[in-house]
Amino acid sequence: MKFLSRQEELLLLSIWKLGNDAYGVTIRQHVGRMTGKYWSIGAVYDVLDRLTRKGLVSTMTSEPVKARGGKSKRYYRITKQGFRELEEVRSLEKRVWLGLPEAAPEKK
Amino acid sequence: MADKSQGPPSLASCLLKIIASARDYDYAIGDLTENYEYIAATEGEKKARRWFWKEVMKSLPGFMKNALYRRTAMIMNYLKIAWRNILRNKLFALINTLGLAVGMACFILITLWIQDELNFDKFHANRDALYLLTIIHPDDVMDPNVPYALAPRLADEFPEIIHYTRIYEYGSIATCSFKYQPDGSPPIRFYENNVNLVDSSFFPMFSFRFIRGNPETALQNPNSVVISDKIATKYFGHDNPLGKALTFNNRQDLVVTGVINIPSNSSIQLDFIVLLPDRLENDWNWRDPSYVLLDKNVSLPDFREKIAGSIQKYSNYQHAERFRTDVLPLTQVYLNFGRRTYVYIFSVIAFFILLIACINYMNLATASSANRAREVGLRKVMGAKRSELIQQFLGESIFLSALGLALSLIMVKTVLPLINTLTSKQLTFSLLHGHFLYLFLFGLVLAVGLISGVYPALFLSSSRPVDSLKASLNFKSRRSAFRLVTVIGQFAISVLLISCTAVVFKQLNYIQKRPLGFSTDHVIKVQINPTLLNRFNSYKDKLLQNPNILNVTAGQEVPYNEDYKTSGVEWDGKDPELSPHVRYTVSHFDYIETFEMELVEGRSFNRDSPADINNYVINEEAVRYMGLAEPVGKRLRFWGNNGTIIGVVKNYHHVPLHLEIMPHVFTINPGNFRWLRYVFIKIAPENIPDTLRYIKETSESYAPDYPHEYSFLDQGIGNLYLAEQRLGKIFSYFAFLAIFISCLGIFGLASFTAEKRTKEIGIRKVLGAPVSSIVLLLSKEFSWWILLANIIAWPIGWYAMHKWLQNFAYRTGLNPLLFVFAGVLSFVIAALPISYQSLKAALADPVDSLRYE
Repeated sequence: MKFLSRQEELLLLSIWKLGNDAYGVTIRQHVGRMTGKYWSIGAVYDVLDRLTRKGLVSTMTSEPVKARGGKSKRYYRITKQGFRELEEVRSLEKRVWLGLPEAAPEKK
Repeated sequence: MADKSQGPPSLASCLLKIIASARDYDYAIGDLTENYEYIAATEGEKKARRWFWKEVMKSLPGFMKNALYRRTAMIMNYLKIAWRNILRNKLFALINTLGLAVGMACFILITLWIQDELNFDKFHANRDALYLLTIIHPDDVMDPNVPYALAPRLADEFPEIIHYTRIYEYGSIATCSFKYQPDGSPPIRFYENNVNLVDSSFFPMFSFRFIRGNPETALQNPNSVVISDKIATKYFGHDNPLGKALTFNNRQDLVVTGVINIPSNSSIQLDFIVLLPDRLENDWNWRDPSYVLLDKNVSLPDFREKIAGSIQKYSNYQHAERFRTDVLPLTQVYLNFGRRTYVYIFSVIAFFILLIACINYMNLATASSANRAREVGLRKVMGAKRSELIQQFLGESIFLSALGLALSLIMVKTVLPLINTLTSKQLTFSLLHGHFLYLFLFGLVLAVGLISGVYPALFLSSSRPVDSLKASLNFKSRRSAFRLVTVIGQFAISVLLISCTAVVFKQLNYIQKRPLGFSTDHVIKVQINPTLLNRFNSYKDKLLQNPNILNVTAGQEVPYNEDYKTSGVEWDGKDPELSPHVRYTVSHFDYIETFEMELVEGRSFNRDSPADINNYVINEEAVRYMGLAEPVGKRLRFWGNNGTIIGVVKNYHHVPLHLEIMPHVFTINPGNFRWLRYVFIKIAPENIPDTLRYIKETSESYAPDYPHEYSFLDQGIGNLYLAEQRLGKIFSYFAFLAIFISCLGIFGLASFTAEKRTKEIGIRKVLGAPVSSIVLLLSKEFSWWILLANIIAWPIGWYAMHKWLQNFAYRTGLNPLLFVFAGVLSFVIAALPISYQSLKAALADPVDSLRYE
């Protein structure tokens, strides 16, 4: 079983959080804010495409929006499979952290 | 802040649209635009635009991958259809691939050649700091040869010069013979003319590879000699030459201290390298090149300005202020003296031949568009977008051009040895090494595919489905204007090349047939040597005892290439301001007689009048130049020697016909006899082998220590025009290729036209038209095209050849008939495929063509 990559996990979580308003611009904004790093549009799309292909998110195209130069948005929503994989990662995280202190010990 | 934003950069959007699949593009551009507007509103339009570009460039690879991934099925379908089309139209596919392959092979070969030309002298580690000293003459001609004293004087004054070296081409002014005495076998002896004296910094400056020996110590000793690998094999075979002795002119032993390999793309080609024993600080003779190695940090323009007036500063030449000293980067030396034009000419030809091949593809693809119209219509009905169709057709042309490349690589591999002998180069693919080769080939396929495919793609994809799906094929003469222009262009290029070839050959013929003004028939050239020279009179008498030997003389150079100039001449009434420029001949008695030069006034040198050694013979041009009304008897001072003019020789061609005949002075002063290099012997046409044997025996008995080498003088004349002969040959090959590719194209077009008009021809035949009228009907159109092509090509060809002929001081006229000949030739060649196709169509049984109606 292959685990989600960190990037995939971050984007999936963003999509979950954004709920009904998850499309390219908002996802990128959100993940950028969360990580405090610059995400290029290409990088976001790359991961989104991978998620779509794996069936972890489903897509839906909106009506054309005037503010966007008459182009439509593509909304993303997590599928059941997506939630399952997120669960998987979370429990994995818990398991590997079990018994470790919150902070790294000071070096002597 | 502007209220109305300009919107995102359209070029970037366009790029995205081309690369990304349609589905991706829509939402991606939406997201990008939304973000763009946000940035534009908060941080300004300029920043937003930069952001937009950056994001698009970054996201392209991802989209490309996606687009390919999604389109795999469609691409497979395209490939299948392309393959079926090739199979269905085998003839067209063959013509296209063959044409493209020949064009590409040509292009690849010429690229390799140009690459080699441009790579000359680039192998030196110091290539960017090496310069040739040059002198700019008052008439702006750049002279690669400078006085020997110049380089050391400059080096003394300017610390910018790290090293300098002269290359004193000793072998071209004095006889050099070498002898190697192996243990227990006869000596190996040859005359050599590529013997050079250089300064000690020669090897530190240039990066010639030492096969044997040590570059640092090789030239430490004045008795050392470094030889080229070619010479090493010539004298020593497979033995190690290091430490062995070569005897120079039977008086000095030189020890071989190094064997070097000089690559063929070096403009400096030396066989024997010996240390220059003297600094020659006061030798202002002006014959050989000097090179300098400059400090890398020197500002070149400043340095050039500093040295510009150095001839005036150091030398006491008359009018030294008219000459300017300059430097030329070593890497440009080769191109600068004559080669650059050829690089340009061949680049243009390569491009044109490739273009002709591309045009073939365009024409055949659009001509056969009717065959594809249904497919296009159906695809459109099923929802294909025009951009997708364009991609499909472009893909097809790129596919064909890849096939063509494969074929052309095989062709290049096969003809490369031939080209190498023709150009005397060593071209290989390794000239474009590593990644660059692949990049070049890939780029070539892409460029050829796009150039040839873009018009057909636009044309084919433009048809309206309703039209194309209606049963009738109503595509007849749409857009034939384009085809017209391209076919005419193709043939214009071919006619141009044919006429250029014809002119080059006519000029070659002219210069080879033009009377030189003297006779070289049955004149033998024998290398002179010091022993022979010392006993020349006795040797001459001994030779003349043979009744088949008519005349014997000696001279410094062959009479048809005696490019020695001097300004050391004065005469009565000379303008003191004038710095004269004359050619001269240093010779023995009977020079004029041996070559049967014609005297127009006075007499020639006479062996019975000893005073003649101080007298001079001049040519007609000299009489004119000096403005002498009664030349015979006038006083003339040559190299400080006072004498009298005793005769005037009719003008003859003392240099190749590129150059004008100049004033010429003949001297037989024994003080100059050390410059004599050849014995010239005029023999009778009878019994030549016996005469040659007699000459050999006599020479060997007089100079037993020296080798005996001879050649017939008229053989050398051909070598003067080697470059032109080569050009003629290469031009004729290119002309042949161009016309071949054009014919392929016109063959395809003719077959297509005939096919399209099958029914028309059938009806005409049923109604009683004779075969001849149908052939005429089909060929008429093409004839007009070719005629028009000729009319376009003639003035261009005339102009180009007019320019080329300016290279020759003596040239053939540009006969209009030559161009007519090129036109007729193009007609005849084009008529073959056309009439073949027309006849085939005209002879077909009308029953077959009309049966289904």
